[in-house]
Amino acid sequence: MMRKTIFSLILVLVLMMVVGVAFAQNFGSDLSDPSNDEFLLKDAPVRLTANEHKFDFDMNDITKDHLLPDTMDKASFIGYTEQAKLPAGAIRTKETILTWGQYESLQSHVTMSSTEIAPKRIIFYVETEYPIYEIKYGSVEDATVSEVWDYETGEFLGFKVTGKPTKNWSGSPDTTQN
Amino acid sequence: MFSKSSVQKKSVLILLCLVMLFAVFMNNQSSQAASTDRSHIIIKTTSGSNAQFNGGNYRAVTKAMDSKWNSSNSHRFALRTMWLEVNGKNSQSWIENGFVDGSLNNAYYNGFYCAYGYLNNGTLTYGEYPIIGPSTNNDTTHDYHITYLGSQKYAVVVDGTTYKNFTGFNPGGSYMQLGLETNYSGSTFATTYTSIHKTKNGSGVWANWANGVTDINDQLGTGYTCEFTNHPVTAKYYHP
Repeated sequence: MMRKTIFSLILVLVLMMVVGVAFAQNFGSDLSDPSNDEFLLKDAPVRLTANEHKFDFDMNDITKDHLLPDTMDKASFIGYTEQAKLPAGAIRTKETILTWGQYESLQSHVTMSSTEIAPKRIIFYVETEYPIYEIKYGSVEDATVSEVWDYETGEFLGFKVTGKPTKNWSGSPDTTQN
Repeated sequence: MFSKSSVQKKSVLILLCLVMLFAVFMNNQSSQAASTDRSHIIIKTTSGSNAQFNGGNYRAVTKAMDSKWNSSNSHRFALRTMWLEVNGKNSQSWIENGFVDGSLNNAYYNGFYCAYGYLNNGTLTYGEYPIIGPSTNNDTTHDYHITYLGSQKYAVVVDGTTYKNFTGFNPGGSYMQLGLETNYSGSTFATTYTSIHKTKNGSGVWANWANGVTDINDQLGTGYTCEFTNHPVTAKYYHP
């Protein structure tokens, strides 16, 4: 009788675990991060002209990490993942405020510059190290990912990943063929 | 009615079944994670051995595309774009200029974008950027350019406006590709066309594609295909 009761209890526990995990897998992300779902860039916003005068930041010293304002609501940045929700092994190495011009000057080798974003536009810059990171062409190991958002609108302005491509990586379609 | 051992056996059996179901479920979940399988329905042109491409151009009318992106499948994308090789032939460096629905760094985006990638001593650098400005409405017509400006600088241009510059690439590439790509079999594209397929040669002269072939690799089984309707300067992409 005792053994039967124990087996019944284990059975119930396992059932609860299976249902719980299944629920979390299917619905957890939707419930926990509603901002992910709701985002839609509708019509093109106004051009991102300089706005540094609106903020009390000292943007002159590029070598200095600028403190994030206490009032900063990171949830408003489209697609932003906070440190606590990063995948296992990933490390957030930098979060800072920059101007777009400073961001452009941080690049090396091949550099991207934008004609639609004013150099003095304030942006939110995030850098993260990932053991492995997925892009549309496959996986990148030991990846350094930098992401930028417009500080005022929360609009995502782009990302760059640098790392070692894995075996499943392939570049543009032509590379796939060769 | 049941002996103790019978109950125990049944319990163990049920437990095993549950564990197996759980394992199958988890495997299914992980298989829905990011996958590198993708289908491309494209056309392409290549330069001759003594020639090179320093730019590419096409025109397209924006039509509906749906990657079926959602927060549980945030890697899904569907796009129509141009890939132009840069930095010399067979350099494994390229720039893209097109329109995407779905994942832009795993967040949802629907609009113009550009991207670039290159390998340097085994290290990959890849970036994606939204292009914001041109109308994203369906049935609007847009011209897309990637063009070498000199001093290792390429411009990404939509409707005559330069949105991004990439500096650090040598001129010259061996291919220009154009068409649809997705990483999800359920993505949908309304029938669409591209036209005015041009490349810029090493002397800076723009000309219609001298040659072109279809390159369909539908490994996901989307069912889409493409064909030239006026070879090699107009193409149709559709689901038969």
